[in-house]
Amino acid sequence: MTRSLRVDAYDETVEAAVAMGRREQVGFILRIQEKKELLFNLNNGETEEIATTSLRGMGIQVCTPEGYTGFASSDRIDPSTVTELFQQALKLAKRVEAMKGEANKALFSAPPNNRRVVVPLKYPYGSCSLAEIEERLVKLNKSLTLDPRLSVRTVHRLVDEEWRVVRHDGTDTAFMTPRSFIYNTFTARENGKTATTYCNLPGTDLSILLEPAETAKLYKRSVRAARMALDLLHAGTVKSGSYKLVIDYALAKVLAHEAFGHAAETDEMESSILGENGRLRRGMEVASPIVSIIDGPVEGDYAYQPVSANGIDRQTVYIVRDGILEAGLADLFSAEAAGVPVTGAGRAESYQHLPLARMSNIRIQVKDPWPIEEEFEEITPEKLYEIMLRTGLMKEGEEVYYLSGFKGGQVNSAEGNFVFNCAGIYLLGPEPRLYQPAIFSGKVLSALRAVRAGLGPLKIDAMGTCGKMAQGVPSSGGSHYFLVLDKNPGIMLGGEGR
Amino acid sequence: MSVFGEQLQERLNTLLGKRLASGLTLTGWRFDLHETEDLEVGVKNNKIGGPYTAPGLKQESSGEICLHWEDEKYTIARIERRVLEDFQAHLELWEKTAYKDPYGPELVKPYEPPAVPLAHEGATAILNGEFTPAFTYLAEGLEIMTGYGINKVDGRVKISRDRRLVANSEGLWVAYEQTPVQIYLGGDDLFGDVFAEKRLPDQEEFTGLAAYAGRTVRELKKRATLPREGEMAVILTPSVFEAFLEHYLLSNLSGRLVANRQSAFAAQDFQEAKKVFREDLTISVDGTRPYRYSSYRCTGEGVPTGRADLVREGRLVTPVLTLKYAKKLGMEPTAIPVAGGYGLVIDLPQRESFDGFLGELEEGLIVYSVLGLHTQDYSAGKFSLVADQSLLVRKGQIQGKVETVIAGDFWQVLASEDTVFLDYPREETPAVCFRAHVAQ
Repeated sequence: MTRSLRVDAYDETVEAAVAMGRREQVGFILRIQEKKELLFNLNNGETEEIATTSLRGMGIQVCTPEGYTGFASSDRIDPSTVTELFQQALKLAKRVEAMKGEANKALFSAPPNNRRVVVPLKYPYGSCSLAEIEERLVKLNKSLTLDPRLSVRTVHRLVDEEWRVVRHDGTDTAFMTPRSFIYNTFTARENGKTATTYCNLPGTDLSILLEPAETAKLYKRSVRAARMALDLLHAGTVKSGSYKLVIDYALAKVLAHEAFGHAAETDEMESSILGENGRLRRGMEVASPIVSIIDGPVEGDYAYQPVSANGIDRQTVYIVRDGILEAGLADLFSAEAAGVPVTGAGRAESYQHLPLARMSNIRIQVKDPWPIEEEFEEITPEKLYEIMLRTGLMKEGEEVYYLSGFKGGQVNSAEGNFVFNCAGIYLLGPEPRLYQPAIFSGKVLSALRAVRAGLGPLKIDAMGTCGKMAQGVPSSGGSHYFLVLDKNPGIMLGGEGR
Repeated sequence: MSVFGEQLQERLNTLLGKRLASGLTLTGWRFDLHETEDLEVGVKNNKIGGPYTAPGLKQESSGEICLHWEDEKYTIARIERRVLEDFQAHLELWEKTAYKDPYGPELVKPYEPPAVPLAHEGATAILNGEFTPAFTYLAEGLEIMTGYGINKVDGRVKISRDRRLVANSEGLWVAYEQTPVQIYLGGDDLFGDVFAEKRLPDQEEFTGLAAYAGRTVRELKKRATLPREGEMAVILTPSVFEAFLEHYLLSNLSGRLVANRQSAFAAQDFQEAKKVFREDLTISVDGTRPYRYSSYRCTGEGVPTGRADLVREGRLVTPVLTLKYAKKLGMEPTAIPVAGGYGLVIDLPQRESFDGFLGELEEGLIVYSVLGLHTQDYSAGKFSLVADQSLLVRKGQIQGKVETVIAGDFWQVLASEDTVFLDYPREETPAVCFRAHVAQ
């Protein structure tokens, strides 16, 4: 017996849409979304805000037999509204036809899907009293004020979201995309100088707050970030230049996501560095032969989405296998033009948005990584230096910088430029020296070709929000604990002048 | 909107002064409701209205509600249309999420806010079903841009009608309509520009937008080589300067961050009117200008719009303050900037002409886009960014596009007497020129 979902309640609306599709002899995709959200915001031991959000609505994308598309959405979900939206969307599609706009008939080639995904959650939305959540968060926040120079902000977000995607061809799929995180921000101030660092713990439910192993992990990450903020008050700046680098898995996630994943999304293939005449350059050597890049949904992950917003099962894709470009992240409407199969990559921020080809959990996997037994949170820069020496990945006295933590990134997929920022930079040595964060920038392919080794097991819980085309969807990923990148003139550490 | 608002008001008023099962007693309420309709259509790779840019009509009723309970307790919730259908269930949730806040604000007393005109007839007509102009903008933009040799034109038109109602249990009832319009045109994945106001553009404005985007893309397609690395003149075009102002200045002027010691500026800095920037620089927020994108009649809390100096003659005046942080810091609430740096007014007694300045420039960069600004530490003021779309200028002549990394200190930029502010064609915000480290 499958658990019921809130989106199951809209059968009459679905039937009305199907009837409209038959009557008008057109194709459609109906997306119904139900979302509940809790947000806690604490500052320096005090609750600043507790907010709830409730959202529901539907959007319908209508496609004429000639392939012209129109869209309409509303926050009402009922049969008469879906009929009205259908007519509006069809009218707009006909307007596109009159303008000789873009036609795309891919909707009529998609296989029907009736998959239903109910994610088992140990501590779902509503399983713990709000008073207890608040009490635990206040305790956590207070415990992190390690120094009077520190200000600590804690944000906790819990999202209970369900989708139902229905098409004219009998597709009727429903799935959950639950997610949660705790995010701590540390601002250190002293004599007019400030430094800000962050850390987080993502998940799908309240386990991140209620499971002792999870809270211990968050505490370790937080203490590290807090100490780094204090240390950065007195840190110098790195001279700009090309260096041998070690990046942690969070930064590797950004490398995979920003520098590479976007370029593999097929809806931008006309201008991607991985495309040629709009088609994915499969077989192209894009990375070191030890590198594979994989994207796909992982149950229990912050960015989990098992079915696309077009109603197609999301596949796990080897974008790069052993350094060779193998596949794209292809949604229904751009796969054919890019010369690749559909992989169910379409995602939308809400029922009001048209889906785009997007990543889910993207990770860099390296052949024969050097093992590390300890947890990632236990590896200090000193220990990393020892590991680097022991594995022969660096020599004593060699100038190697370790980029720790990430603060986001940005890429121009058309030109292959990327920029990331880290929380802090260590010059590795027996007594690692901390420097101010500086951008890590360069050319996508140079960075991937520079990957020399991986250290530790895969760790893929680095979270973020991807903002492609102004639509925010959760993203995640990672790599081995650390990746070692050889010095390469195509990648540069920013900072001030030489 | 008035029906939704009136029904919600009625439900809330029946609860005023009553002790609920949870033990809470409602002492007041406020809400900020929006009933919005949008028409959005785009052009992607020269084609209008494909599966990613299909014309779409969107309707939504949503907003924020804040409940004031006895004993300094408050509830904040985002609400949508069905709140009235499941009112009891929502109320129970709101009771559960009530939290104590000694700095919780009072409700605003009733008043008549400035009658700023914000709804444009042309935009309203489009949302009433006369869709043609929205498509025409894209078709004309496509034609103008391709005239500049642009191979791939992307664009978007979004026209909205927002019927807004801000009300509270003290009797405040501010209802008005606004029509935000955004038009974006870009080319060859190199550069794009935006028109954003609460009205449609006139023909000259629209043609100017498309021509500027087209000309700039054409310039950026010519390649040049950076002659040397090191310190040189860097000009941030207005949109880039606005992005810097938003990331660094507005973040640090946030009342929340100031009150919680997470800003580069301390509360005391404002009390002392600390001089932080050059003496001729005044930066304000002004929500009273007719049909401007950043204009509005009152904030969601009911604070009237107005003009407020945030920095006056180089000295800190006030953070951006909601009622809560005004109370916490013992200051007056302010108007709130809308649309980030674009919503700020930059006042300087003197600005040089951009074209004149460029003609005299020995060597420098004009920066049209940077990558990674959001990754920079807003509190430190330092920047180190890839300027992926920049034009090299030598001896007053544009040489072509260079890709560089620029590094500097934005606080220094605003403080230095050597910084030059430039009147930029078609823009209210100036371009800004300063010296920064530039690397390949």
